[in-house]
Amino acid sequence: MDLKELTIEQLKEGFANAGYISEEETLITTYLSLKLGKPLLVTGPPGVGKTEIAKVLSKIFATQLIRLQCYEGLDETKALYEWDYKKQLLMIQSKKEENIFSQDYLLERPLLQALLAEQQVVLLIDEIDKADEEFEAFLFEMLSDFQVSIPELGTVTAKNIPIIILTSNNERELSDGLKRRCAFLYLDYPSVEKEIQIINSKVPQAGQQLSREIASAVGKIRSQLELKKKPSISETIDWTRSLLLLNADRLETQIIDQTLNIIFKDEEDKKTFQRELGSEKLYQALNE
Amino acid sequence: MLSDKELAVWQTMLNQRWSRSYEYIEHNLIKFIQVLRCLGLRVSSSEAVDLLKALLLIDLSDKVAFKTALQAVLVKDIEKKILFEKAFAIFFATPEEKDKNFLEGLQRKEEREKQNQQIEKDFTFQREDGSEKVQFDLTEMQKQIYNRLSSHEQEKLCDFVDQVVQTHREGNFTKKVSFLKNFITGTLNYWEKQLRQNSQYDNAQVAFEMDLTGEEKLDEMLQNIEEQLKTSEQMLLYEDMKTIGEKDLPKAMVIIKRLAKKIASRISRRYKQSKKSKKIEIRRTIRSNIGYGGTMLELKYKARKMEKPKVILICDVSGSMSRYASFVLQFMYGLSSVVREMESFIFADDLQRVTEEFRKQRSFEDTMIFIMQSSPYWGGGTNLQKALNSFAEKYQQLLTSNSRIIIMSDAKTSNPQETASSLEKTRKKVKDILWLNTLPKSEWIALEHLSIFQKNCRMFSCQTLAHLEEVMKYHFLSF
Repeated sequence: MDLKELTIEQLKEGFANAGYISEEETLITTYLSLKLGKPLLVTGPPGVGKTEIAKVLSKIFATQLIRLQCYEGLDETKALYEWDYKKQLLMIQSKKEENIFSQDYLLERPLLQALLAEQQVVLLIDEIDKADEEFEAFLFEMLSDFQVSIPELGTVTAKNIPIIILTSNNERELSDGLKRRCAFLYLDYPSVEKEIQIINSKVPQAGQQLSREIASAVGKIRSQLELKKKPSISETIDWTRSLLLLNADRLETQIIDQTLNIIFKDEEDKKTFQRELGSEKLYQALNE
Repeated sequence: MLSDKELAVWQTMLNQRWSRSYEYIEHNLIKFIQVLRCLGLRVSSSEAVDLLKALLLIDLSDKVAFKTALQAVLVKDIEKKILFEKAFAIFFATPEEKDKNFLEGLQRKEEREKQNQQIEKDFTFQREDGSEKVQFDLTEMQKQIYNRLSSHEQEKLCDFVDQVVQTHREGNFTKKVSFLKNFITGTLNYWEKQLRQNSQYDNAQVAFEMDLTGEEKLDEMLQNIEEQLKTSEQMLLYEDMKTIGEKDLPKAMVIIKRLAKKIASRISRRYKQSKKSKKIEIRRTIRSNIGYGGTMLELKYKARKMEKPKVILICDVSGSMSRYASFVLQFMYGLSSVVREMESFIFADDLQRVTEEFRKQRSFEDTMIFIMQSSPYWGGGTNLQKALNSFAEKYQQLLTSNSRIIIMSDAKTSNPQETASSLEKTRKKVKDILWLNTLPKSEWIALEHLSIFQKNCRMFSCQTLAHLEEVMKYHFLSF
């Protein structure tokens, strides 16, 4: 698909073909960020499909996805470039007259790879809130001008402006400078209706009845309980698959108890569920 | 306010794309951005220009697309989304809705003015012989409580004050006025408590401070937005912490925990290099010596051991602060469970260290019960001077150039002059003092000593969870 000619309808179709069930807000915001040539900053709780947006876009535009996973202590040598010291030292010792600060001696890291790619790529900067504030500031030049400065080489400008998606779990407040440079999208947990659609799309053999019961149960767990980690969409899918493996076609008390470990990844959360809601009450609520 | 340059860019772009008949859109959008800024959203000029570019890409007659475009470009903070939603609903309402809102606003304004006039009349006392006249100014909160009293109670209060004024014979009249002022405040505080206990005063008070534009129509809109926010269930963030009801406590605690977690992660990231460890970093060393043919002439060292800032929280738990204190202590509890280097103190008549209580693996409720039962100071009077002096005497080792003190108090302390001097001494020994004041900014002017306090600390209004979040986000560890 050609970005210049892209319409909202085409994007919607692309998302649907990639199996990503999206709300109108997600579609319009993604469309605007693509057309404005601005990075898209996606925030929201873990497991709501933030990273998936980048994967879907790489499918839609049939292009490479370059991923930079952020963590505390990430710096430009891991994110942007590093000189190939071994090669440089060997060259010096061989006493050949050659510029050792040229592209041949450059080790490209994800950001530089995205800028120098021959074709427009999707660059995913995942969990930017985990990186340090200094790294965030370092990204400013890249995000607004699609170029970076390498002291020994000068300014490297993007051959093709990459589609940039940044994700954040909101663990740390991002700077105003970064937010200003991006279009902003907040993804929350899906509504019951949307989650049914997601289950049907990912696990079609689940059937309407089971999908509805699972989506409603997960919705109640998320909204009624104060958990350390709320069940994500992927856990809903895993739960559905597990129930199918156990030949369950309905959510019943016993089967809920047997499969609690699939939706609760924290022992404390499991206890909270048993204490404050419990499989019996959940079953009753689903059948009211 | 948008600059002339910005306006010019908009104008050019619009003229290129749309005919002159669309000119009003540009003005409307500028006004809307102005409204958002008044509500506390940080919208930059570049975002304003981006908005226009975005609107060229969508169908303007599609309200959902229009609203989403505005949101994607102008709202970068999910907590501010509710403000955007309300502002959008009122600003882009249909003409009929606008007329209705306008009339309702007018009605509210008239009602308020009528009530204020009545209160002004009720609290103006003159001696029958005309020799003395005195008028008491009530705060907004006091006015609201007075309005909720039965006419019998209102009469009783005013009659008493009138009686004192009439029976005044000789001596210092100013002293008597000051006594009456305290009497009125005390009585209204008593009624506030009573009404709250009887659940007659459970409606939330939105302590929302916004700037007005000076333009009548926009200001009316802003006031309308404020009114709507007051009735919104999602406004917990903007509710005066003092008025948060029991039913909303769990939600408030979730917000506080989230905030504490964010701040904790900030503290753990903000660090200063100490001069301790010295290890060679091979990569950087090779890199800087490539120019010398690989001979190690310049050595590069690894970043030294990181030293986190020392955070000291001092929370006022005197009678006037007890409601706020429970929220702030929850915040302190949340922070201290993650940040080991934090020291927590409470104070009223004197200072008490509670760090150890917070470090024990007890639930917040149990910790609070223990502190409230064991503390001799809980709910007492306020003596910050004594508290600061005790702090300097007993915990001198905590006062370092890397320490940051956060004081949470309404600043209604005895011995303000002496307190100011103790504060100055403390300030000289630490990196920063951040004062979170639970009094609304509009009432600061009445407390003369606040300006002296402000010379030695950075003071911010902190009545609501949104204030707490704002201060922690933008001012804590800001230098």
